[in-house]
Amino acid sequence: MTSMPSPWAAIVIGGGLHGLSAALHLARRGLRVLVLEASRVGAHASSASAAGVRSLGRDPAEIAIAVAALEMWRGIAGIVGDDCGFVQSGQVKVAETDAELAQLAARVAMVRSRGWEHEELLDRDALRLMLPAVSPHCVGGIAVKTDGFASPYRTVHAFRRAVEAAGAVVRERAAVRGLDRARGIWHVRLDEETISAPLVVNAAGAWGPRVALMAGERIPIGFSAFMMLLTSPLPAFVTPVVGATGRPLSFKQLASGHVMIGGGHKGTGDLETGTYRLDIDRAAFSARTALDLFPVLAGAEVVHAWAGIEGVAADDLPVIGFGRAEGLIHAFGFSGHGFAIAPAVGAMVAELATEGRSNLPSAPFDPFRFGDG
Amino acid sequence: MADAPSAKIVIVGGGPAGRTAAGLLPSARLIARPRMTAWHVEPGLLWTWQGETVSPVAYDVLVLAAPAPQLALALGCAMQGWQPVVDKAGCTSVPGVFAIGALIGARSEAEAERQGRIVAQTILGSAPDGEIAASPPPPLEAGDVLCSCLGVTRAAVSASGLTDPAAIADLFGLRAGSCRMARCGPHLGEAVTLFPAAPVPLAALAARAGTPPAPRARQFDPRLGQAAP
Repeated sequence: MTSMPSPWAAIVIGGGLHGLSAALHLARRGLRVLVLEASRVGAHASSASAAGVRSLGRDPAEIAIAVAALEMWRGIAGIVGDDCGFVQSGQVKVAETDAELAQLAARVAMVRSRGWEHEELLDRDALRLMLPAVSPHCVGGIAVKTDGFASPYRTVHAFRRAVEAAGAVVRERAAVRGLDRARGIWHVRLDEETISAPLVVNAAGAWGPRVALMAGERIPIGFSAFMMLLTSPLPAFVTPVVGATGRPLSFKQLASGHVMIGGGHKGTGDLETGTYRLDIDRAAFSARTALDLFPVLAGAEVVHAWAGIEGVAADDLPVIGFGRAEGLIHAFGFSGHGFAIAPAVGAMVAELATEGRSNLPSAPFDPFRFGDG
Repeated sequence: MADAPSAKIVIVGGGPAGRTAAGLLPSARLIARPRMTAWHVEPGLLWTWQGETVSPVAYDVLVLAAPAPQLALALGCAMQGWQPVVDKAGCTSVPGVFAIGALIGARSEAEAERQGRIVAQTILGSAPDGEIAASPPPPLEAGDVLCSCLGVTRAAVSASGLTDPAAIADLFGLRAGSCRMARCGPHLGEAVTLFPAAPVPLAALAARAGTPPAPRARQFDPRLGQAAP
């Protein structure tokens, strides 16, 4: 710690999509921003993500953010200088039984009663207009036709380039070992040096609770290693991203013909090493569900499988808001569905930092809603 | 290992290294194509498929003698490029897991057989008649073909600048006889670690799904202290 004033107005801990988005919005508000990434940019959940851009089926607390983010995705090239591979393919959630369809109909009614019009109910025929290859047993579904998906790695790196073009600095292999607040400024300890700034943003994903602890704050959310499967290329048979209602599934076909299957089955992750293990018997259920919904997959092979380590809260909602300490904002724990909302959450963080409040509601994401444990 | 004669020994790969080791280890189970394909591994459990069936094979000692670096990666073996690091007995950084043959750069059949013999002797607890040294691959030039199956050059990979799983799949696709990036892997930069080591039929994997498992509970950072809610 020197007596020289710090050149940094903000230090963002975590070089995933959320850290980069926060850094981008902070830098565009004129702050000098340093991003510290423990390994490499997009090393975990960001790159391993299915990259769904989904407003469909969101928790009511997240709908406003998801709808705002969707608007940003439509103009993403204007924000980060690259279209991020965003395709407005639509997203569909399929009902396999009448009971599931009734559940989805109630959901659409609930969403409409809150003033949102983006979700629509699909009957048997309307479902087949969107998904001609869907299995005959599927009875309907819900959809947002303007949802879509992007390319995860391309998106992360487009955000990184935009962050750097906005004057921020991204440092990789810069693991944070400690946080101390003294004389109105944070001192962020790395292995070889200490860097200071008045504002710290904790965007460390699954490692977010660990960073919070460094600041003396206990935010007891957990983490999971969400598994993904990628099949061999098949002739085009499905355009929208498809989810199921009664079992975990998220499913899409890329332009290359490969089918990406994810949606919630978990392997195991290790925070110390940043590595994960697949759980083959659980991956088998992802394969089963995909095959049940789309019999056309019968001849496909699984060519790749992976998992991303992601922070997950008990209520499946992120942690976004001020820490108890001054000059600290938490934004992590996106619970497996943070990719789509990253452009909007970065703006929220920048608004909190510079105006003390955000335009979109952040109350449901209070970092201390679980108590101190 | 000599004092555990009932140890389950599994050898992956039917080339000269694997066959030689199997010949000296009568109790070992040899997993080799085309009869059976080893496509993924976790500690103590090798995942195979055969026809319509995906099944696990339990092991105490595993000898990797097939050019499938993903198997070593899946176990967390220390790697140099896409070769597991081995000691002079062929043991990787993971106890009980050995790597021999083309996987560690053996350039001739005789060398692969020699390595198979040394590993078998080590597992049997007898004095090995020699030492194993990995041969790192030579550095590649931009014009070099990384993937002989697909004719992908190093320059093409650099230009793509992409390492996410779907982008790799785009670039390399999947063809019969694909090398599964055994050579090109290291040159993809810090590529996302990808499994499985060999394609597995989706339907064979799906056939394992019986009664749905209870959702796996979230994990918690041990540093959070007492059991989190």
